[in-house]
Amino acid sequence: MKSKASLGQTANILEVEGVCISVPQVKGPMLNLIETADFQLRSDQSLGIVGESGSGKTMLCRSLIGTLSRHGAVVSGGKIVFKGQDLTGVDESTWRQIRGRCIGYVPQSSLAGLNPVLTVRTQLLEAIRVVRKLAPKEAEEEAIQLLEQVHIDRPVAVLDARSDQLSGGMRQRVMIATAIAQKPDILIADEPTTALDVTIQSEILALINSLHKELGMALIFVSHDLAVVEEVCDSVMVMYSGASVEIGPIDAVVENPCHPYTKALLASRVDLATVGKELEAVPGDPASVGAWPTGCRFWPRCSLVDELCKQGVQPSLKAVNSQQTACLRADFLERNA
Amino acid sequence: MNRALLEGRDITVQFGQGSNAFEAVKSASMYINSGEIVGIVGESGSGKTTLARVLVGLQPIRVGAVSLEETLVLSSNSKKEIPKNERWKIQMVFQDPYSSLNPRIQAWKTVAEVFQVWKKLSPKQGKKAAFDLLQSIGITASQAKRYPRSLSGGQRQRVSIARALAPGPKVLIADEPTSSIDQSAQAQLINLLNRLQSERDLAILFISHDLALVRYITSRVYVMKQGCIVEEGNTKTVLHRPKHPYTKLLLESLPGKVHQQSSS
Repeated sequence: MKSKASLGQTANILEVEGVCISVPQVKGPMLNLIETADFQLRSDQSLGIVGESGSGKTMLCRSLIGTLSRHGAVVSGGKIVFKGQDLTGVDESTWRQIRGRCIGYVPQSSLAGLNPVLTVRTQLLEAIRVVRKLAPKEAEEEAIQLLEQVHIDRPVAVLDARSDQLSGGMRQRVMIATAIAQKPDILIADEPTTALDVTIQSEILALINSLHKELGMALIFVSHDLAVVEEVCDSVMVMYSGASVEIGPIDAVVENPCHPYTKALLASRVDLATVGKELEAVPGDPASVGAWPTGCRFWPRCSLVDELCKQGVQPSLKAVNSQQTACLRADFLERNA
Repeated sequence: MNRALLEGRDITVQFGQGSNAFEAVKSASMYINSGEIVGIVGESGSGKTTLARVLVGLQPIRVGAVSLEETLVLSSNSKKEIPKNERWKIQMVFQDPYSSLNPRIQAWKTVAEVFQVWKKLSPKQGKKAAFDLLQSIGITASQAKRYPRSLSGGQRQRVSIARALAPGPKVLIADEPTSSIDQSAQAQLINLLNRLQSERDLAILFISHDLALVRYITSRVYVMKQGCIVEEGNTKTVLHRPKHPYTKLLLESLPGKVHQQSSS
């Protein structure tokens, strides 16, 4: 883990503490989508967020750019502190100062994110001029620079293109260019490579990695694929059913997972499997929102479960080795590693 | 060599006419023996799905022929379709289970209908057969009574596998069956396919762009690029010593450890 020796020397730029995200229901109490999300992000860090669909990855990202209300959800507890400012409950005009300028976002459905009837020029210039009132010519020069920065070979031609004239990889590059137009402090990329081929995926991963390093942006990279996160990130947070269950340096988590879910996830990886040997699938299905069990969320699928695990609330994170884990039986897991 | 169970020869599929004509598959030949899992890999647009659709008879061809158990069932010369009484032998599982299942029909009914049509079972027998089949691949009776929207991605895909298995096919064509589901559900599904192959001696044509999956599950593999089969052979050999530059590129692009294992 010493290879990432620079870790821990810079200040936290973002602190997410016990964040709870809920949607109001027609009848009954608020329905919680996320109950305990906890993590810190340093200004030079790249954090991967891994979890199954429905674990709350995307909702967590939306809470960081203040677009939850568009999806009918609210932050109902906890704190999101960005550079010392608590962002929970701030109004839309404050969010407008932050979204895009301080925190850039590449959404999940980014291949559909470009407006099909507008040219790339219109959309990219809008992203640039919304903050800085540049003359059209200057803005266009900047747009070309941005497209070069995301490794587009013919920036001038691409400016005049509409999204249907671009391939998936090109559209993703344009979306990334839009997200970094204001040189944000944090870039959030929500499953940026899901719809792309492996060859294009590896190019986009390399691009995101180099932008993170060259522009000195902190990176939050959401994926359901640990292999991809391993490629890009220096640390990882594993989410399960709306809770952070393990956080730590990526090497440590992959080599010595301290939560049974992480362990099971790693064991089910097909790229590490021996041909001819059955894959170790996690038994059962993830609990759906609103039907979470009491106690630890993972206990119905866990091999280490005991009576204590089934009681009370989702355990909070505690330090084990170089990681933090939300498992009550982490000591046992460690002893038998 | 075994006699091929399903074979496609010199298949060419053309979309559009005249100056817009585009060949999605160009003179591709492939075969699959009984009880064998064969992979097709390639990027989107390389013609994987189109070739698979030809083999189940969903896609008209311009040139070529398909034979099933050494009998010619489809040929561009005779313009004939796969005979109705042969079609049950080849079944397909589609990429997106949500759009391939009827949203207004409960999971078990989707499967029971197939039993009634192909096995000529009464509605009552069909229902029982559907529940039994679903149970055997890990869908409980209470889950079987749900509509597709209240099933998880992995469960939906298992329902569509049950639908494909109902007529008792000899070949199952699985078109990126795991691309829309989570990793832990993916492992369950891959184990299921492996189990079906050994228990039922089912031949599976596994289409994917994920070489890690293909390495794990298939014994032979075809690599497609721009409509052509550019490399074929034993999966281990192809992944260890890829000959075509495109296969090499695919291997190098993989995140994780596959290529490191292959090159060591």
